[in-house]
Amino acid sequence: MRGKVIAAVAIAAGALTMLAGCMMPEIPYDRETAGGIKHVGIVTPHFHPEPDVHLASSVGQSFGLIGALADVGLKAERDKRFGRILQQANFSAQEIFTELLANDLRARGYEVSLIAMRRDKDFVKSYPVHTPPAVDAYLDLYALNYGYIAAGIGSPPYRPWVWMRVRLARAKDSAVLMQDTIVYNPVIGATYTKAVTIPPDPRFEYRTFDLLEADPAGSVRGLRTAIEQSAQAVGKLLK
Amino acid sequence: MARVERLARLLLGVAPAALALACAKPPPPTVTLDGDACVSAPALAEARSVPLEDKEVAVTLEAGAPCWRADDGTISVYAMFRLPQSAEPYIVTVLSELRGQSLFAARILLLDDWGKTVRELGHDAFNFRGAATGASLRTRPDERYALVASDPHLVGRHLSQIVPQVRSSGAVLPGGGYVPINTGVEEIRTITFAYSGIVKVSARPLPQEK
Repeated sequence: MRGKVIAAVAIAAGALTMLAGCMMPEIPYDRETAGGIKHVGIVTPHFHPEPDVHLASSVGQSFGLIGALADVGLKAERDKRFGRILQQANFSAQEIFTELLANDLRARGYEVSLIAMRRDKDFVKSYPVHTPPAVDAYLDLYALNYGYIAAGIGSPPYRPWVWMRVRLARAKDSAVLMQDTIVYNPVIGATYTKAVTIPPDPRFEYRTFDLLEADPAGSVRGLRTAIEQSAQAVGKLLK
Repeated sequence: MARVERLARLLLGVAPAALALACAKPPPPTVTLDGDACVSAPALAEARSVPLEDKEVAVTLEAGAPCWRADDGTISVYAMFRLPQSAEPYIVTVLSELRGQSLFAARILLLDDWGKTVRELGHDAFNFRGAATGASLRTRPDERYALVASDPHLVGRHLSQIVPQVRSSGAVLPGGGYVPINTGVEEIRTITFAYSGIVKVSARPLPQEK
């Protein structure tokens, strides 16, 4: 019980943190004046091992802590069940995103290396200085959320969701050359006004979580599409 | 007392006009122009000054907005902005905001002191940011003016987007207390890229390096 209370409080605090996090100012990239950035090192992007299947509004939200506890339990169950679907499909959001992004950047004329690093749900505090391969800049990304989200029960359906932050830092002095936030399927309207927003693809939607679960191939394909479009959006910021 | 009555009468007089304004539908998107009144070059003298304070300077572009006809015959509606003078580069953000269904089909030309184009950012430099499209750039030394002009290749294109959102309301319980009620809703946002819409330009310093 105590664990669930802590989880409910953590979710509320997390939501506030996420809202505050949205205010990260955008810094545009100028490829021509950035100082010869040709070789980009993609630092292992952070994606939580388990996806989020989030209901942005629920009956539980009207019933204080008890409602919050019920929501926590239901969400955890949905996360676990969709996580199992991804696992069975051998789908790693992090690997797919990294591969798609690397291909996109190569197509834009960058040399790309993958920089393996263990990291948390935040930008890396300090980038490697003398570790090969020598890159001109580090592309640092982390997903705040990925999975599916529905604005409410029943009518607004579950659709794929990706919310991530990206930063390009110059290798020699860690100067921030670009930073932005990208949201695929921005449900919490005003929260994302300053982020790059990608409207959801109407092909992938499920009225209920049971319907989502009953279509593992389709729901995985929907998430892949969201990840693909998010990777393209990152590439576009570096053109 | 007489003063209160006068105020009440004034409010009653103003109320219908305010109501009409609030209910006024935005005009439909402008997607054609005859170009008869267009000038041969955009006028620098019309430029609105943009402060280096992250404050938006807004322009509503509608029928009668300034336009110019280029040498190749291309017609563009435009709004001219004078950029802040600064020894250091800074960030300029151009937002094209939805007005009804109209989204100004924006591109950006950066001009020098004499009005010569030194850089151009096409519509592909813009990203959707909520109900607006936006492009940000770092200024370069010669850039004095930002000319936000319509992109003839984009005008007239339509698109629609799903916009899911959460609406919050609440209910006061009979015995006191308040119950928040959140509901999920969604709408289809229909957009037409047009010669009309709202353009907002702002400038802010680059964040200090750590």
